[in-house]
Amino acid sequence: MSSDHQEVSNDSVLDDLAPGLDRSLHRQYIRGIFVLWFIMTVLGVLAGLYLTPILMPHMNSPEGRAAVKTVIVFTVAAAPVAALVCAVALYSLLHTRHRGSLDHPPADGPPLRGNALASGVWLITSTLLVVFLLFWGLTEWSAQQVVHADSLTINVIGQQWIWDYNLPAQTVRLPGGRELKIPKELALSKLNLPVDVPVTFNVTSKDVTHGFWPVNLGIQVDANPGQRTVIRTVPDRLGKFVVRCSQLCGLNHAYMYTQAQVVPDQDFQAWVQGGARGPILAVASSQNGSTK
Amino acid sequence: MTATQPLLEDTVLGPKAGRLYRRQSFATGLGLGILLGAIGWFIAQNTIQSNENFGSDMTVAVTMAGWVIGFNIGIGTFNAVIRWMLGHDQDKDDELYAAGVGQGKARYWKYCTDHKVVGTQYLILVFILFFVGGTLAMMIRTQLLTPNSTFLSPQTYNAIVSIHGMCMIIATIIMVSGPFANFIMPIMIGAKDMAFPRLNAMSFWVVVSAVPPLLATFFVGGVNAGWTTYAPLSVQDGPAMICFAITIITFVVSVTVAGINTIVTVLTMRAEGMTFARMPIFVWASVIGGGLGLYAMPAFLLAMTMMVADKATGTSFFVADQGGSGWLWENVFWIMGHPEVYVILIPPVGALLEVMSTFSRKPVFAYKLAIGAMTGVAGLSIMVWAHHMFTTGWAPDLAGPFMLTTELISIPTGIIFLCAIGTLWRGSNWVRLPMYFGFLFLWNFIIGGVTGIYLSDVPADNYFHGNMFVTAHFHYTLLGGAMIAATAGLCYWFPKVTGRMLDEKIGKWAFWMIAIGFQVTYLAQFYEGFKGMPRRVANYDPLFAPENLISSLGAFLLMAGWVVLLYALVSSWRHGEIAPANPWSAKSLEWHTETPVPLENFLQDPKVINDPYGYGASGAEQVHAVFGHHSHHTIEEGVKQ
Amino acid sequence: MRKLIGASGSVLLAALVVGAIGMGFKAQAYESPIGTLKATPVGTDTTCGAAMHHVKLDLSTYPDSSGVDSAGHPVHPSGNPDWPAYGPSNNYSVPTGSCVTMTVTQYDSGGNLNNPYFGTVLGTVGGKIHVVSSGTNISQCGGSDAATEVPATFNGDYKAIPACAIGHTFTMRPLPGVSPGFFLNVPLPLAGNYAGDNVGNTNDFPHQTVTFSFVAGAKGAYSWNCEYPCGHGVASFGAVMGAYGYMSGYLHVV
Ligand code: HEM
Ligand SMILES: [Cu+2]
Ligand SMILES: [Cu+2]
Ligand SMILES: [Cu+2]
Repeated sequence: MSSDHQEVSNDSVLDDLAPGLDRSLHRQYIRGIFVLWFIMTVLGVLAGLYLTPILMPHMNSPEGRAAVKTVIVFTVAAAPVAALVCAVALYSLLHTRHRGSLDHPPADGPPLRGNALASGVWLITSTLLVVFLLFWGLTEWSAQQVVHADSLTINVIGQQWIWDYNLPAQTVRLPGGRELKIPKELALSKLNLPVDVPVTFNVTSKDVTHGFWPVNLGIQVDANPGQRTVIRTVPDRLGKFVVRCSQLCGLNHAYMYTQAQVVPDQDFQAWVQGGARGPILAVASSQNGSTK
Repeated sequence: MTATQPLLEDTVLGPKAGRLYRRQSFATGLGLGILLGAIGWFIAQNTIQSNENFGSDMTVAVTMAGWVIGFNIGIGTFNAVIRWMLGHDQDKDDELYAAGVGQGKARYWKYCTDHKVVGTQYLILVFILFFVGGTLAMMIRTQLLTPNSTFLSPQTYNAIVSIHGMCMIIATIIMVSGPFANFIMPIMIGAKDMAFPRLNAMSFWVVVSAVPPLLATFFVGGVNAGWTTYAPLSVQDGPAMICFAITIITFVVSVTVAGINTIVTVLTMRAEGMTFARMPIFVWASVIGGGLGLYAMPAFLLAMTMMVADKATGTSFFVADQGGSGWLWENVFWIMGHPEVYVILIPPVGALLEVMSTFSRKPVFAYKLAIGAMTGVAGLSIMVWAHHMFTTGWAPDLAGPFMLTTELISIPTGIIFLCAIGTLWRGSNWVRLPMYFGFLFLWNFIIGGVTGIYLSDVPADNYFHGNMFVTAHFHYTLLGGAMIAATAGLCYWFPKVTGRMLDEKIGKWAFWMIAIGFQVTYLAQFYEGFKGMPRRVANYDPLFAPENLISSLGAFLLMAGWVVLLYALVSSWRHGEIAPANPWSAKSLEWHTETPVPLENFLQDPKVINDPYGYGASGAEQVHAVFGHHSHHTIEEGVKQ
Repeated sequence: MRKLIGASGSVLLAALVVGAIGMGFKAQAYESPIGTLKATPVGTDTTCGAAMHHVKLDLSTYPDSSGVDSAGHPVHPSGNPDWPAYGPSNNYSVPTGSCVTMTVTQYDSGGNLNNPYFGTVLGTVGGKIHVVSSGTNISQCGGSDAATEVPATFNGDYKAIPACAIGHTFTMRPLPGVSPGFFLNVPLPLAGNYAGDNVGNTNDFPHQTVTFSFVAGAKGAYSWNCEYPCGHGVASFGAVMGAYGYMSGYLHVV
């Protein structure tokens, strides 16, 4: 502990941050905290970059991947701030800690009542970070608002305790001049989606509020009674996933889910032609299989 | 030094002092509550036709209302008002009787106006509520130990999840504003009592009367709809939902009364020299939290009143096919719900900053900025509610604005971190048990805050909403943040409240169990959320089995940790080492009066000359207050409403 | 040492208290008086296509859970005249990989489904059910579907039941993540008439006997419930439909 609190120093930012502390000790503190901060920032950044993709599942749409990307970017952005808090805390635990007897420390800490520079830097940094977060979020969000002229419409009806899908008669033009034809309205026994075809879900409920959450598509919207809510995406990777209910809806909420799959569009066409029947959980045959 | 005032506790009261209060206690409250409840049930049952299993919603509403009113008549909530209406006033002896003079331990069972008794009563109630909520949490985690578990039926599971949530929310709302804003805060500002001592007692006994209806839900079918009781599911629910609503309505009355009392006390009862700029940060936090509660809670009362109307009288605020909307519920609920999480958080943060300052032997860093930050958080928190509704489909155009306000909140939240680490920086860090919890708070709350910004991002929330990630986020903020900070405060003020030192050895065992158990439980839940497990499910995909097992084991350790802490508290309370008046050499006023604290707090009136953070300063600047001039105030001024 | 004993003693005590409360909650889950109904084996046959172990389950749906069944046993310990129930139990157990034939005697009246989807037979052997009617005489739907014709009596094999003539359904969901998953939806045609008069728990009243078979999948507790809106309140899914043990339960595949 420095014993000479009263010593008055005159110049420099350092003195401003730490009046009355001798320079070398002060530098030692800053250096110690900097090292801790640096290590923890690196750890945080690495965790964001490499751990997130392991922790989060394989996503079947740009929206899903955007969620993963956001977690990565926000973790990296937050790492230095979180690391600073941890570094100061850790340093005061390890280094400036009063050890020994249970009595209170013989000397008080320096009477630092605030520091305009530290507060200012902190405020400006956090404001910039928030501006960045907002900018990031709005950019992603508006990119997701694109409405494709041609999309496959699927009506989703939530009900205690099942998802019910209905495919209205429609023709969707695919890139390359081909067409996806739904000759007559069909009740789907499971949710198959053609790959790379924009899809629009019209979601509603027959009773209470449910949450329509096709997990690996990274989108969700509530199914509200008396309302129709809409979400869109373009499933662009083949593979199986699950549609779950994300809003507590009563007794069997836990059991409200459907198996779903993104399949090649020819397979989808064939399945539709066959009446979209079959046992509800059978997996439609697909030459390519799942890429998962 | 002048002679000190005689202890008021030794006053001999007249034989009739207290009048009706003499005959009232918890027992008469219980008796009259049960009686009125039964009468209500009998009348309703015989006039309202119902063919449901537990009687009609109206029957249950009348029964529960009967209980609440009966209990409060029985305990004495309305005594003084009724005496006034009859044209009498209470005399000095009555007031002293009501303040507990000459009743020993029995005063803890009575309508007692001494703020220290009320604070202690709140503390016990908070322990009980946490134990109940914790027990329910154990049920949840036992059910989720393995996939495909049938330990609880889905109905029982939902009932437990709902009441676990609400029990904990109630407990956390009152965990600091009850015990510490009542016991400690008035002493901190040099007051003799709260501004409205009888309202203070009322706020406590009203919340007591709100608890039985909450537990009654289990006996009338259970609440199916979670603590957020989203309509129309809650309208579809059975009469348990009515019990739930009665609990909330009653609770809101209590929080409102307590909030007004706190604010008026600080505005009017400060000691000489206690300017706003010299008030301890905890006082500010209590005022800001209480004030925010005054804004938030009425919306809850409104929502629940509409709910009771929808269920019991057939209105249709929330029923779509009769013109209502579930979105209305969600809006009103979250207009309450988001500010409410800061009603919970702000007072513990104030307590935490006191702890950090005392144990770092340094002033609170950037004191004014900290007040500004808490005010900023409170102000912004009323403009962010729709971030809970990003995925509901309501007003997609508002996604951007609500993303903005939500992310803005991280600026003042960040300042709170700055103040905390600024206080630690270069301190003579004295790491006693309260500081253990202080450090744990920093770690937990940083994780809670960072995961909050993921959720505030609409595209990311489209993945995380309704999933275990949200559950883990708010446990990191509420349990890991607010409750751990409150625990730091509890360990800090324990010697003052109980007159004994807390056993830090057992406390540290408890600390490690809590710290480790908590991380295991909720880091595993973050992982469940990443993988896509929905929340509030009685059963899950075996895909999520390993992390659920780990989470459950962590939860058992966590609960065991709390029990060990409870053991430390109870055993130290009973036979701990006798505490000196100021074991931490702290500067704020509560440490500069006797322990146990006398009836009107100070034997000599304090005169405040500096803020309580004069650590490291020299001369008179180190001194917060001087004592020694005689009390001029009469007892009436201290106790009267 | 004393501290250690005190601390672990309190953890133990708390565990006991919590455990006791847990057992209380467990007991709150409805258990029918006969407990879990075990399927009776009937040997090996080819009811489900290939030769496999064959078991039978006999169930009924009663309009009045406060009444007694044909054998004089109470239908439900906390019965209510207005709440229907499955009997004699809501929990069944069948061996894994076996062929299960279920017979449900439907005594309750009924009406319109919220969703016609549940009128379709799904997941049974041959995608059909076999119905024998006790002479119920309905020929048209009630309510807004009054014009829809339904058979005067149900007799024979059906792949669907008109959505306006449903008494209850037996709807069982696959377990999340367990394969092969099986989804079962069996609509039970209503008995009696739309007005719901002249229905009762015993064979003195009109009833439909519905028989179907399915192959039990992997081990696990499969949750089933009725999807006919036979409760009260919002979407008629409150009251009995929100309570476990009347119109919901588990099929344990062991
Ligand atoms: C940086 C600060 C924070 C941000 C940006 C933030 C953001 C959010 C968001 C966006 C949600 C909604 C997630 C969803 O349902 O999809 C949420 C949920 C929640 N947050 Fe925070 N939060 C923050 C801090 C806090 C704090 C300090 C508390 C409490 C002390 C808290 C308690 C809660 C609770 C209780 C919920 C969930 C309520 C429920 O659905 O049951 N949050 N938070
Ligand atoms: Cu649902
Ligand atoms: Cu919020
Ligand atoms: Cu039914």
